[in-house]
Amino acid sequence: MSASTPLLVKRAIFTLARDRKLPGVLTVNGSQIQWAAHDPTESQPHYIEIKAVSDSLQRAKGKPLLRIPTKDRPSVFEFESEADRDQAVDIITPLVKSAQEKGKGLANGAASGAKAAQGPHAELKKAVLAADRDLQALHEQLVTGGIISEAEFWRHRQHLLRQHAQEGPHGRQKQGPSNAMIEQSMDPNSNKVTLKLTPDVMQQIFQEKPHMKRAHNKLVPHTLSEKDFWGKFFNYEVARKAQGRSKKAGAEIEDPYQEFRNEHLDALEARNMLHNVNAEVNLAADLFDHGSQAREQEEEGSRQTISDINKHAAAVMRTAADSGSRGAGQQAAASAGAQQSGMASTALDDLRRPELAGFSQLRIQDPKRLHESAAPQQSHGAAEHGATAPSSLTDSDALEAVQMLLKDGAEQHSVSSQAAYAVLVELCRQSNTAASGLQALAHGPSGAEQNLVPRMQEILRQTVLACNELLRHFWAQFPLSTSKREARALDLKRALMNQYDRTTAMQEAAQGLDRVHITQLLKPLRQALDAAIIKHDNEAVYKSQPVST
Amino acid sequence: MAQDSDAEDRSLLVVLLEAHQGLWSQLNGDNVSGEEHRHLTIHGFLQQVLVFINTYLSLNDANQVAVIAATSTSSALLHASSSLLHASSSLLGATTKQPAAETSSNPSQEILANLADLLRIQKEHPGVAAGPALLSGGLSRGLCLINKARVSARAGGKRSARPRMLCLQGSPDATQHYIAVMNAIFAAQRSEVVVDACMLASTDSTFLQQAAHLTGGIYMRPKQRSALLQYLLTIYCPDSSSRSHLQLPQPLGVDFRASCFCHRRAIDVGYICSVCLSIFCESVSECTTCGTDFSKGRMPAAKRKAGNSLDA
Repeated sequence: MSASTPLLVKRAIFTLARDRKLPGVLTVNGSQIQWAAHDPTESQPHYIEIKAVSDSLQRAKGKPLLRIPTKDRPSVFEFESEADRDQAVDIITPLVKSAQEKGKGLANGAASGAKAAQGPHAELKKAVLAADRDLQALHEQLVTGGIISEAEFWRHRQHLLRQHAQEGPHGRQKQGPSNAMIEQSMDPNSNKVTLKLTPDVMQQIFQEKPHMKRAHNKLVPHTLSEKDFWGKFFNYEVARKAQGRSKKAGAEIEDPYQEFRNEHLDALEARNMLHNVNAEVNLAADLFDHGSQAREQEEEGSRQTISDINKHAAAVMRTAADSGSRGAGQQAAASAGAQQSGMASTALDDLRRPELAGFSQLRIQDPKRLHESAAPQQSHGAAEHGATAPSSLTDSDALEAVQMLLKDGAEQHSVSSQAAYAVLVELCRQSNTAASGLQALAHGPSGAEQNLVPRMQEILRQTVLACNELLRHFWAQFPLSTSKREARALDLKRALMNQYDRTTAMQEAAQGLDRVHITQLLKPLRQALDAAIIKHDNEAVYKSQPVST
Repeated sequence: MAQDSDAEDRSLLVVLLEAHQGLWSQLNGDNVSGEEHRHLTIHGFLQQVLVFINTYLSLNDANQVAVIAATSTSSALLHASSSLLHASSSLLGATTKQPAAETSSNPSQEILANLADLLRIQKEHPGVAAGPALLSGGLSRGLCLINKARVSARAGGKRSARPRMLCLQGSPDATQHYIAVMNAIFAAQRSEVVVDACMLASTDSTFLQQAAHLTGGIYMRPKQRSALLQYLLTIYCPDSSSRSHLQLPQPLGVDFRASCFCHRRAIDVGYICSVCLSIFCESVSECTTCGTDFSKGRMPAAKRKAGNSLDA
């Protein structure tokens, strides 16, 4: 006997609270008692582990009530008749006794599953489940529900575990380049400065100091080697910083790449970039760097440092803005080339939302207008927006329109061809034309899905996910070559039939339009379930027939 | 011969236009965040409806059209094809007064002029127009017109045109008119008048859904209101007999909820008077429609039998 085999299925009303009772179905299998409401939107299914039953069951005299005492809180069920209740007690009592005798639980699928969860990969599995809510719900429903074992559940999900193990706890977030300014560590004893130059650091320098990029392009590798080029630069930088620190007014240290400095070219490049960056921040920084005059008491060193920080900040912001706009497909307009690839590599993940396949980014063109429309009563700017704002139009507006039509006559184009085409596509989709070319162009979610409440959509989604998982395991049992496979297929078929009944109950519980929508959404699923059940029935008939010679 | 077949195929369309601020406001849409396709100006709406009417008339020379405007206080005939008017005048006698714009040969001009007059009157009496539009009144007037045309055709020994009604509504359902509207719908069903409905609001209309369902018409709530004309031409132009050859959008479902007679609330489950079939949302001691007393409770069958045998 498998743990998932239902030993008893009865209609029972479950007492959620003192004044809240819900009709549903009580199912008892080897390891647990499960109750599911007729209307899944009303309540979550309720599970009671047999081993968690702390005491013997209590019946009420003259009423079909059953109280199941557990460690947390007792559960009270009301059956349709006392006979039903007694039958349930007769089935549950021996299970409870045997569970109490074994002490730690039953040697069944669910129990072994629980053991497996404490195995070597338990932490990893937990982490994978925590990262994926759908998977967690599925695990809870199927493994905790005792329908499939832990090992079976994870058998086809080894790649998830591997992937998670490789990525580590922060696997989902790619480590971006450091956004710190270039560091130099100085050994106080030897007076030696150590610098670490990586391609990322080079890229950062190129972005902060465009003249360095020009110099690099011109000089390396013909005039100077890569090492000499950077050696010269860092010598100058270290000397400049040292001078700034000691606050000595010494001789001006000359930039070895002074000749490549060109403010006009820098400004031009910055302007090209400006459309991607928060213009206000950039302009304020630029104003300080170029526009303002140094005050007398202000030291040149600190001024230089502020300017460096500004440039660094601009470079960081630019990479973030670029990576964001790339998702929106605006990158084509930006300048191409090596600079682009460099920026892509320095794009900071922290400043960018994760890319989700299949979802388009939310873009609000005019946030101000959006906020105003949210509070139409308060918005006195509504008149500015004219016909586009949701204002209540009166008969006098209609009269004006009629008079205008009477005076000027009708326009030539009353409907744009684009809108008309969209309507045709929409109507084609609704009119069940199977192989329509227009329909092939139509995409997006179907109407039925949009018309359901989110909670119902979520329930349907979970049901479909669970059924698909069960179907996968069911079909994996074929061909039914061994008795073990046969038994497993039978168990899974029962679970599938339960799901089938559940979908039927969901359809019947819904009313009006919802019912039609739910039926439409569940249609493919029910067909898949039908196919599986018919296959199994056929197989049974085939097996039962004597082999003709 | 060709004319005869045209006359055979002719149909009569009664357009019921809601001339109420409920519709004008709904045309603007309820969402402004970049959903331009949901907006339709009053100007654009009227223009598209006129294009549709003219297209319908040009499909067949013998086609007839009538346009009725429903306001919160009355319903007014904005235009009717001359053949329709002649038919009704011959039926009622020459003394009946005809609408002033009868002589106009341009239906669009006539519709607009009469609509302007109607709106001007409403504008002058703003307090009167506070209630919901009279859908039931418009439907009843349309049905009367259709019936007149039918009777006169029969009197003249001709085959009557296939009648159809198209409701263009924007206001939400007025549950206080439930009984009147349902009666009009049942009358249409009985007289085999197809009622099509085009709901121009963001929510569905239960009344119009039921009207279309019961009479075999089409109910539609256009998503892209700016292209209303395309919906009208694609769905509502073909007459009821041609529709059987077309693949038209299938309705997703009909909201069959009824409104209770006591509070006019839309309900799923309620109480029904066993005598007159009135609907109530809560248990009442006496039917407000027919006065049946429910407070006595049902007499057990055994007692009833015993009473009967005693009487005998």
